[in-house]
Amino acid sequence: MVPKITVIVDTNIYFSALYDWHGNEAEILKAAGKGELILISPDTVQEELKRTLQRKLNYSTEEANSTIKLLPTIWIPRSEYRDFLLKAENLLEHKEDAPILASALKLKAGILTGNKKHFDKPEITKLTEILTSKEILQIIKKTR
Amino acid sequence: MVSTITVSEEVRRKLMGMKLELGYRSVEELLKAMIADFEEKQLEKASESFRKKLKERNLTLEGIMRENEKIRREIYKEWFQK
Repeated sequence: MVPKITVIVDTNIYFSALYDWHGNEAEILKAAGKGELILISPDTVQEELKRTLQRKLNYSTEEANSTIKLLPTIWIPRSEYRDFLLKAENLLEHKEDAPILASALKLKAGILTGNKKHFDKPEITKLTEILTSKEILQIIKKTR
Repeated sequence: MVSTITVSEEVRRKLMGMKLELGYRSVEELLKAMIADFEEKQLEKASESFRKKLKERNLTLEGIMRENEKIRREIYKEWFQK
């Protein structure tokens, strides 16, 4: 059996998918819903989504939670990636991106982000692949 | 782990008919696809709601992304820099 593509997903991908239901990011969520790939995000991404939806778009707690629950994502807790945080922080200019990189290092998975430049350093790309939605969709099409 | 559900004869007949017509190997596969379709529709509704709320507040996707970057820094400080 061919192993499924597994990627660590950045928050901007979820916002883009919600914004444009026919765009590449939404296509990725649809493919994950059908079991064509595995999407994983750290708990920080879940918290970011929740706070942003509530504070900036006035979602109620229930609305924010139910929206997040619909995302075809495996959420991983801090305890899972904590051991890789320091290494991730040392590699990144924007330290606040560390939970995403730490999760990728821990799970040996690529990173799917709309903000590639934050991770686009040779020291990082030799450890993990940084992918765009378009690139992921091309990989999925090849495996269909 | 597996478990059983009880359905009426009519529902069973319809499910078997759908399985054959749509080419699924098992009813389990058919039901999984139906669940995936349902969840996709729910997510589409969430997407409509998201766009509506953006419009109501006169916000753009880029604006939301910028706000999220601030919130990311805030969470990082709270959770990891104590």
